[in-house]
Amino acid sequence: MKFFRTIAKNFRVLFRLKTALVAIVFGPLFVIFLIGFAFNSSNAIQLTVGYHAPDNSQLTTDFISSLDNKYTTKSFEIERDCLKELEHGLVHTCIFFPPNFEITQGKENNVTFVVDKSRVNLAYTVIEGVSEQIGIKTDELSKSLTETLTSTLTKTGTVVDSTIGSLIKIKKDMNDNVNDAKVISDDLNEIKLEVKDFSFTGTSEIASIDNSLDDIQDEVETVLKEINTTINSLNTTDSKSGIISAINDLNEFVFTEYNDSTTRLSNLTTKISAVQTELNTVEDQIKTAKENTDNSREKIDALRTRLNSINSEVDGVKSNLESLSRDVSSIEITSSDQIVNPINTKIETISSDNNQLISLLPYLLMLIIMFVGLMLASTLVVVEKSSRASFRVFTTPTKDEFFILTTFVTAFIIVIAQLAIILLAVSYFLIDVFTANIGLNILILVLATSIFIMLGMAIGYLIKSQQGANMTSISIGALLLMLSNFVLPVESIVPGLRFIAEYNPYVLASETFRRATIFSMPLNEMLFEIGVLFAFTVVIFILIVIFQKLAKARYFNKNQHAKAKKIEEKKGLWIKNVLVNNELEFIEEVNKLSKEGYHQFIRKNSIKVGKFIKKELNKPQIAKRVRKLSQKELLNVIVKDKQDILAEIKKKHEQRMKEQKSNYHKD
Amino acid sequence: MQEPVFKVRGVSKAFNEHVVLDNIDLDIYSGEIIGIIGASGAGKTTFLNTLIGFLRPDKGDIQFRLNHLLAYKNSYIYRSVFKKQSLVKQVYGFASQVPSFYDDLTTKENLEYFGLLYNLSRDAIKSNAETLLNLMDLKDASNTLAKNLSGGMERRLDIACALMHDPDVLILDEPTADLDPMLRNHIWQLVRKINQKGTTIILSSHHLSELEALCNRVAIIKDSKILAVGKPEEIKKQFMVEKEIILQTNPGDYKKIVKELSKKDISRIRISNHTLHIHSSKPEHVMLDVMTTLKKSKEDLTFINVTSASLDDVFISIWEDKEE
Repeated sequence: MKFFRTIAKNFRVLFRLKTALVAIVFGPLFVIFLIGFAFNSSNAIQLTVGYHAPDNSQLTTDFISSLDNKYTTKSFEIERDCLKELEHGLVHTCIFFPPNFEITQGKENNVTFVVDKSRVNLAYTVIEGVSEQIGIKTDELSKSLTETLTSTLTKTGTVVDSTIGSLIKIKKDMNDNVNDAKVISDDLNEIKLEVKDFSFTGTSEIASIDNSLDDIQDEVETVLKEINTTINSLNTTDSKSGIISAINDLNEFVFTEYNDSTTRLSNLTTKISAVQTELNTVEDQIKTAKENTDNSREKIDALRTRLNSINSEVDGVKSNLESLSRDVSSIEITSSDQIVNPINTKIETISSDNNQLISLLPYLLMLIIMFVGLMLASTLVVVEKSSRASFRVFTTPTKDEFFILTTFVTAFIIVIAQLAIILLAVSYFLIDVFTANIGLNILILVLATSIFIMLGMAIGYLIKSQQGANMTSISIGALLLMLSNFVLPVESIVPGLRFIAEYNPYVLASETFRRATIFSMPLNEMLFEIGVLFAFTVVIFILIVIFQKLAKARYFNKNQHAKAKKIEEKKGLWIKNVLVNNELEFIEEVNKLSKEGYHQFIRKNSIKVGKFIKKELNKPQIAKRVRKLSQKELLNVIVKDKQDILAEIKKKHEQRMKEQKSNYHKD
Repeated sequence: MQEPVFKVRGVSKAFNEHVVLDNIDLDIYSGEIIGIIGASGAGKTTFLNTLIGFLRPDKGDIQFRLNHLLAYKNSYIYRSVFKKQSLVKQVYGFASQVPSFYDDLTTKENLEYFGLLYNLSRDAIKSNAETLLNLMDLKDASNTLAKNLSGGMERRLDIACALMHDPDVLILDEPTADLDPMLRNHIWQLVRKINQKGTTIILSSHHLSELEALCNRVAIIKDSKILAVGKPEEIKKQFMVEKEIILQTNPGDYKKIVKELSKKDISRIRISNHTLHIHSSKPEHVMLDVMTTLKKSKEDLTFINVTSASLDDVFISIWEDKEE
């Protein structure tokens, strides 16, 4: 019961506090609505992509066209110009295409992205978003290259199929040829050209005859010569004998030779007969061979025909293979690396320093400044405003602006001290970054601190309670944070609200601080932003002065009595226009009440009385029963064992009576 | 007659539809203690806040006497409190219903801080703080955090803070509201002491009997108007021409007695603290009737007194008129 009543009480307190109601109920709804509205965009982040293409090749144009679909593109003649705009946040990435950007065998195509990693969330979004587009284009290229390869393979497949058909036919022809060759071989084997082993010795006979004839001829010639010689020497007696002897000799010789030649001719005739027989056999064999040869010729003709056919088939296969070879040779890109990654993307950061802490520093510092500034300043103001001393402060002749200033300076010192501690803690990483542009950095930090402290003060003056001020500070801080680059890039907000988000003091402060620290950007390049921040401080200061006056007026214009009574009720209990603060007064005043008056009083104020008894008299058990107790019972229970109190009351009563008596006697 | 330090002329103030002050005229004179009396919600605090210029009236003006070099030979210069806020703030010190100081500062630090806000010099701050710590009997608590002070000490510190710049007028709004009788007496003694030093005191309180003894004049606020202003005796005469017969009897069946009384010449009867209070403009006639009734009711008279009305009675009378 107590548990639920406490919850009910909490709800009552909360909903009676209008500011808290706004902060708790409508605040988050408003934030959700705003964020929902702000980020209700199906479009990708509105990025501006800067690019530098040394020569506008077809491939570059294709890439830019693919980016154009999603992003705003901007061409730069010089890489440095693009980088400069990237530093200013005017473009969100720079893409540098290589010279002669085309896909050729062995050529590396490196497309370089430059992103600003200090804009942490945006950097990755840009990388992701633009890489995706580049990836799509790269995939298209890869696909095209692969398609070339696969179409060649398909064609090769078709050709190979048809070649296989040819080869099957060739194989069949070859089998036929082999069979025919076998038949031819058999036919040829059947040709018997064997000649019996005979020696034709007639030759020597013929030679011998020939020699004999030659000898005869020589003898004849010799005889003739001798005859001639003898004729010429006829004057000699011997000549006649010589001729006669020569003729005798010749005769003898011819005769001998003649005899020998007859024998030899006979032998020769025998031998010629034998040769004749042999020659007949050979003739038969030759006839058979001729027949076989004719058969073989026919087969060889058929074989030749088939071989011609095979030759033409082989020519076809050769032609196909040559065609395939040409096709394969025509594929320009054969490197698997190049097919898979025709273009290499390289991501670089705009600043040389990739330390995550340095990139995050501007946002983190501003986050700290914002929340500490808002919470601290609002708390300081509310504590002062709701302090018991506030009334006395109002009665002093010190001007209101003095208190605004002192509160501001108090908060400022605390925030700056906190910043100093933080910067000191991270000085190891940041000393160079921070000191490079120290004047501007300090100016931005001072401006940001001032803005958030003054905003917190404005909240403090506007909101009545500490809880309400805290919740409002957190809500405003969260809202500023949501509409900043910290959670989601400002570029992702719908255009209508983006304008407002861009003037969000948190965005302005963190962005200027980021540029000043990371890029060492000079003041003259950020005059506008610094000017807006300064204008914020002036506007918020004016608002503070107005809110402070309003808060003061509200303080006095409220029903002062009701307020005072409320405050007093916290301390004491009103019984019939008398405020009782302790046990003695309570007993005294309750005792004064008539029976009827007591019942009426308890009926109307039982809760208050119960609380008073519990808190001030430290009697929780009696507090619970207060409605059930009669006046007498209540007094008896309370004054039990309190003889001293009873005695005091009696004493006072007697004293009063005495005074009245003495007055009476005087009269 | 001294020239007033504050001149209130035709001041009216309403919050939304509710009229809190209606055409108020009042002069507050230097050196006096003036009590502002009124029921809860009558507008006492609103009046005091308007007096010092915190609340701007819908109608009328309040002027204060300027302690200026030009003010000489009794020809005082007056300025509107609403136009010269920084000057009027030097004139008065204000102690509101709720003690107003920093809980987390010590007694002395509070005094010194408020002295600073009144643009006092360092020496003046030191000397005034020392004097006030002694005057208010807070010397021993000078280094105690204000939040650790008792109720009476808190009240004294609050008054000390209001006096830090030595104002001509000290305004005390319910200065004894949450104090026990002992502490109340202490505060009233202090008020007297302060007044004796020449400080004009404007105060409001519920403890009318105490105001009666303290104030030179009282102003009664009722129905948004000042019903009467004057010395307590004058007020009593004005509002209570009747006498009050106070009696106690044994066994004390006062209801029966009241029933038996003829009620002739009796304006009001109340029973309080086992005592019967009878108001009448002809007490001698009523006394006879009372005696007869007591005899008839077999009541023994143990105590009887006939008095003039107190300021409390005046207040109750006026208040009950309103209720009726």
